[in-house]
Amino acid sequence: MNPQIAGLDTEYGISVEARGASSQVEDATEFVRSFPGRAFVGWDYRFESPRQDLRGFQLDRLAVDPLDAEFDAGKSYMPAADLRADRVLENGARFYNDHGHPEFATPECARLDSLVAADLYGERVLLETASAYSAQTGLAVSIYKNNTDFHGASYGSHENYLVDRKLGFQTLFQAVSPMLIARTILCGAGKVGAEAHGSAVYQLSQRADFFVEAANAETLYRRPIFNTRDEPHAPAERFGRLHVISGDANMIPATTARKVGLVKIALGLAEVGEAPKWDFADPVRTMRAISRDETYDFRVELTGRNWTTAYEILESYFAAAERFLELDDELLAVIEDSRTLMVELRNDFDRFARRVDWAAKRKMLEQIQEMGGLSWGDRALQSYDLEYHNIDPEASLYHALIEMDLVDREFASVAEPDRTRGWVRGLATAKFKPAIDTLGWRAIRFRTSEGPLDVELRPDMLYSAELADAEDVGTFINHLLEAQQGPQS
Amino acid sequence: MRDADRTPRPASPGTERKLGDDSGPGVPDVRKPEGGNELLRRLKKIDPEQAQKYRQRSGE
Repeated sequence: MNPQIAGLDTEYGISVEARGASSQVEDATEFVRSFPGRAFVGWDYRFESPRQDLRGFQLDRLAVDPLDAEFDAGKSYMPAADLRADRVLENGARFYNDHGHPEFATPECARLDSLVAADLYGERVLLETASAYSAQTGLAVSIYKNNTDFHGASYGSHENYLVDRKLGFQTLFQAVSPMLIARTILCGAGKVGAEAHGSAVYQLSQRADFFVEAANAETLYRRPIFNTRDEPHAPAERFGRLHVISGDANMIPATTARKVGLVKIALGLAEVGEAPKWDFADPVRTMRAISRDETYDFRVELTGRNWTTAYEILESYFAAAERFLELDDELLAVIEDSRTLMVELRNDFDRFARRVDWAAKRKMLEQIQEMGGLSWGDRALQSYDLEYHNIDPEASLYHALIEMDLVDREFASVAEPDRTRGWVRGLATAKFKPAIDTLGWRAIRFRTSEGPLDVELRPDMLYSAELADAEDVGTFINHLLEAQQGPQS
Repeated sequence: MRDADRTPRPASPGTERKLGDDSGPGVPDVRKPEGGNELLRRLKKIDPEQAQKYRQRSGE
């Protein structure tokens, strides 16, 4: 298999002392501007197209949450670019204000370990920014890596996968949707209660309440399980970007890696035309039912009055992957780990809970109930759920579990970066910032003596390590231009 | 999702207390067993009403 390039973008929850949702957009702007590290300011918005749909049309407008519209009524915001406060970091990440949430988008990564390290680096960026923000404003701020406020407002942790344009909507939808639903049992972050569609005690997924369609291009409201946004951030004639919005933000690094690895397996099978074919009777109801299934049977209704289980769906991908794909060490480990977990989920929940967020949190909440004489109906449990996701190691309940050796730490927080275009973006930011006019996912616009020069970055390749040795911007640009002419993957 | 759906729902029906019900214990009695562990130490610092106060804008 060719390198499967992927990235994660996480919108963090933000709680500023004495402030609220009505001022959240402005607060998030000030928060991002407080980032104390080195960064480039000057994001290139030219190639953004969030209303373009993979199915070949463009939406007139994207739906907006009615409550957010109320917050915005009568307000006039500063220009969008100022409000977003984009920063490009020296590892190639993008840090900005997205709809009132500080968002950290990792650089593009080829390997799971480098992607997990980049995601963990994002937590440190948020933490350092929180300290700087509090020092500047005198206001305490808490940052949460979760996806809900328990009142019906959700914010995303998205995955992005570079895909070949030839795959198209139907192939991607059929190959990936069953995986997005079934992986919930191994990747959900867990949630106390429900925010729509009736009641629930404890759910596997933070996000399942918010999906109302199988596929569409929306992200803020009327969200789909399979997002059809067609914004490739690369030449559209050759590339697409699968934009996955149905996953949860994970605290346990192994869960993050598994979440991405499972989709990579589905995409690999889509590439060779061997993805398992599962026709769900109702994908939205199925995802919701899996999220709320206290029996852990995870039954899935199929068309034609047939049924299967999430376990069988996952195993069908693993068997096909072993048969049809040349799997690297990481994806082999994802399969082995997932199979082990599926056995543990039914036979050894304590072991299972060491490596899966929803189970670690559930076990923790059960312990809290035992200690405090609480029941699942006590609303304080939602506060402890929230504090599991606090990124401050001194306050977070997730970090308490680490200290108590109740969750596994299988991934290093630092890894050798993959030399993707994200690495190039970081190099340019670190070494040649004065020579950069604008910078984005897709290209760098350099200032040269002959005027602005746009240099497109290859999304599908790993660059030569020699690029890091370029001592002047001219040499750096020449290397990039040579790489543009290199073999296609 | 309709606006009417944007309210916390009971965690379970029946005799158990419902979210939003102010009666009964809202926080663990931290004097009970297992004192000294890290979880217990951190629980003491958490406002049991934190999630009720936590409101966010919808993101993507």
